[in-house]
Amino acid sequence: MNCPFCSLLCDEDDAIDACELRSRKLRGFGVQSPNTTFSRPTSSESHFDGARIDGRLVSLDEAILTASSLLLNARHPIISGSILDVHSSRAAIELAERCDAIVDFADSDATFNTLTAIQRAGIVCETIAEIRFRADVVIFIGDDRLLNAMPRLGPRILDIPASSPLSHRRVVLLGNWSRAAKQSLEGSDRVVTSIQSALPLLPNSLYGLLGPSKPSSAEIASLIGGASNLVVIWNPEHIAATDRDLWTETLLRWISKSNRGASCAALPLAGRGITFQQVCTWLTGFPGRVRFQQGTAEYDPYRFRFPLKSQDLPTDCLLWVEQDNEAALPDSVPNILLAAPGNFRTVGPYPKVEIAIGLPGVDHESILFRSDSVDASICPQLRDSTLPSAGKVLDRIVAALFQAENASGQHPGARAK
Amino acid sequence: MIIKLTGGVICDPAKGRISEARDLFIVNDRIRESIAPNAKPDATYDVRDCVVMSGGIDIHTHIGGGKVNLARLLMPERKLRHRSKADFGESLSCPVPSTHEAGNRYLRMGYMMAVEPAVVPCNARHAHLEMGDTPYLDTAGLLLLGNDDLLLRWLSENVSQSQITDYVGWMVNAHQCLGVKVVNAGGINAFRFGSSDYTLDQVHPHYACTGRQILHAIAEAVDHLGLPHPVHVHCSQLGVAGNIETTLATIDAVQGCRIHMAHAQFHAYGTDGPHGFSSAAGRLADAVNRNPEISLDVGQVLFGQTVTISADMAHQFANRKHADPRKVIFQTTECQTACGVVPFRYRQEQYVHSLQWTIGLELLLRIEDPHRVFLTTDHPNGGPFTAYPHLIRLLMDYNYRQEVLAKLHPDVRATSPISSLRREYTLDEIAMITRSGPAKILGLDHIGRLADNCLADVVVYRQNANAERMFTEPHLVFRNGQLVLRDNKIVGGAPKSTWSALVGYDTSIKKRLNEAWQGIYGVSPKSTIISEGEFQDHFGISLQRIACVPLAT
Repeated sequence: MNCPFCSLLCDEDDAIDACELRSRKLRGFGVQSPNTTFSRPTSSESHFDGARIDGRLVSLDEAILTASSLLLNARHPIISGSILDVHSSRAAIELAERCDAIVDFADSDATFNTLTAIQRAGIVCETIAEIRFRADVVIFIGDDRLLNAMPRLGPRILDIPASSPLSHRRVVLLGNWSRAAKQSLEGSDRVVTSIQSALPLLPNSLYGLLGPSKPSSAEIASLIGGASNLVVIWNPEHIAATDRDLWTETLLRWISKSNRGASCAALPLAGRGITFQQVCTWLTGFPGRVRFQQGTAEYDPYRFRFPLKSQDLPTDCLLWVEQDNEAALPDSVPNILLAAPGNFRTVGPYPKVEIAIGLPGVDHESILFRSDSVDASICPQLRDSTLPSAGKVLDRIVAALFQAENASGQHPGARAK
Repeated sequence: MIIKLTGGVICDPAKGRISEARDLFIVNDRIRESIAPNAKPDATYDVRDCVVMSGGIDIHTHIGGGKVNLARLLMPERKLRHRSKADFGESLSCPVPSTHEAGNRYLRMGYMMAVEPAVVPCNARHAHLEMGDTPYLDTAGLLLLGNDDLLLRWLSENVSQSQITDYVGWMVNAHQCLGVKVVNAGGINAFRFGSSDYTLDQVHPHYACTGRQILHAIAEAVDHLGLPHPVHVHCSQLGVAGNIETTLATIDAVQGCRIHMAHAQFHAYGTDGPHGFSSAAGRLADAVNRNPEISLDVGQVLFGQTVTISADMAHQFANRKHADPRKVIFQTTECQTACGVVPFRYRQEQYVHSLQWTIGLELLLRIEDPHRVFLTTDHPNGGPFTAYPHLIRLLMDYNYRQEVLAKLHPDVRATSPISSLRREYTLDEIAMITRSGPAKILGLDHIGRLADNCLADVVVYRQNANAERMFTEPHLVFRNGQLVLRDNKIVGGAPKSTWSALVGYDTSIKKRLNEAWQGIYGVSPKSTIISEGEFQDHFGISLQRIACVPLAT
């Protein structure tokens, strides 16, 4: 059983009960332990579990029909949101193709700063078990948020397994780390050193280590010198550099140049958009920010982004999927909102169509990708629930759209299996 | 539903039958050579002047999984990709197409099954998801073993062969694969321990075992478990001048077990000639002709832009300086394997690339039994799978071969024996290297043939003196007995399947496996297991399992 609450996807044998994030999420869902029946709070209007049109309760069938009609008649639809699992990602992309929409994961600037850097510079990277088994020097770049977002990251990466050739390792924290964070990573088999560093300048400082001149940071040089397998880990969402894509590219080029054989590698930790990114890549050839037009997928990482905080989106129909009940909703009111109970507005303006959906790995079994992109895991249903999954609702909108297209002859079907 | 195909030349050489004009019937999803006298066909297709074959099978093509997705990510240069049914141009929209484009393209050539030959255990679920999303194609995966720390550790501890066999059996079942592939046995792992020139008989720098021992242990396990497909081997020294010695030593290393040599063109190089790089295809072909336990797929090179993707990180790393454009991805993967993604352009004016082109064809022309040599480009490593019609023409038309040869590097023209090989493939032989041969070596009796009760995957090609044109655009394609393509237009869909082996092994291995797995990977092996239910619930594809009969001990 894998845990769906962050993109580490820890399994049940990995002490997940000690994870604060998991405990908090479970409490929030009314799940005391994975085996108790869910009791959903019903006191607030925001927790309704059906479907609404203009704020009034309707049947799911009616809501789906209205949603498909809105999309069919839209000129510039956008489909986005926290789309977390494989099924909903497939369905969102299928729907985007069907209605000539732009499709992307919510708030994906950090992700695309990394992806476009990789598309320019390439990457030498490692995965979690590989680092745990072999890396004798591990650098974490960022601040405490890295560990707060993935509480089990330290043990998953740093606990040396019994069969590893390593007896100890060095851990270097670069950025702005608290003493508590440093202490949480300490152990008898490792030395943890924290160096306060200005993040925006860090890649250039590291690059300076390659040159013949004196290293720009003697302390960093001494800590990573002699490493046989050095790995640099960061979460792009926590890097506040102005030119984050160039920041990433410089870091990737330093890692690549430092790599002799397989001695230096990166692990940019992907956030919860990793599943959508993987699915979109295999279905379209592109990792997101795709616009469909008459069966053709067009990729533009700069044009097909839209800011979460904009009130004035270039769309006449925004379909928002919210599978993470802690993620930020867009400032614009979506025309169609698929969200878990608890995310609905209690006062107007309401989205035209609202449909309550379950959470992946909580209300229904789901497949999610791990943060290092290599592992896709099954996250089983945690509580009794009758809420439909986002994937199933989106599939039904696709089917309704298909029927409407056939009836009107508007847009020929584009895909068949 | 009964469909009658009347008057076509039925090309079904599996059991030694010669092509002949006769009627063929499809009853529901099966082929029938005849129907009851009082039965009336629901549909009749007049296919005079046509050749009828079973659906094509690609035994080695990288169509799904983590490394394929990394290659897509790395090469977004073409910003438009066609996905609609009608709008496909002449060539692939990019070297590594989307699942949707791959499935469409295969169908448009009359291919209906493809084998992803490099399923990484920890990434197997991803590979199955992609294969499930590849329309119109039945699929199967080969599991990558032979560089996993767990196996190497056990070999270095001299555990029994039966323990290795049980481990291989557990892994194949857990990851729902049809067979096992070994890439540069031990070499990828050795690279992680700093050895960049590990060869078959070197002792691993950390684990006390050689590539030869690793390969033999796995080959023996595969044969003992009764897996239908022999161990599928990517030899050490890929692309290196003089690697023929290692390739022949690899055949020797399996000590009489069955072996399939993957993309053999890349492993048939000598050191003769003005550039110290020559064809050794003759020596490899002789070895195959002498030994009925060997089969190979070619891995033919085509000229143009591609992206090479391989688990053989050691050699990909050495090739990074040839990257075109200059960007690469390397990933080491969960102590199980690694991958290197290196964009590459084959140029016909370049000596080595021209020579590689001739070596692939040489193998196809020199190996006598078309049931043991298969047409592949190792897509996308040698070139795109969409080049198969072009390659078929090269095999069937000596004069055309000469025309293309005349454009190659002058030293290749002067030294290659390809001009002296006047063999021209017949249609029956084409059917063998693209249909019945791959089906047989994969242990799939129900496809690759047009015999009674085989699955009705049927392709009708209009006869044409230009074989490239003929095989580029089938007239009719039936999948599972349903018409899905007519004159380059997709007219329907049909259910698809993935094939895996159901292996018997001593289940007491699980306890030892649990401990060793935790000791290396730091997690439980439970989450790596792919259940049968996932195929229907999540992958959108039905799972067909082939029960294997272990060899008696």
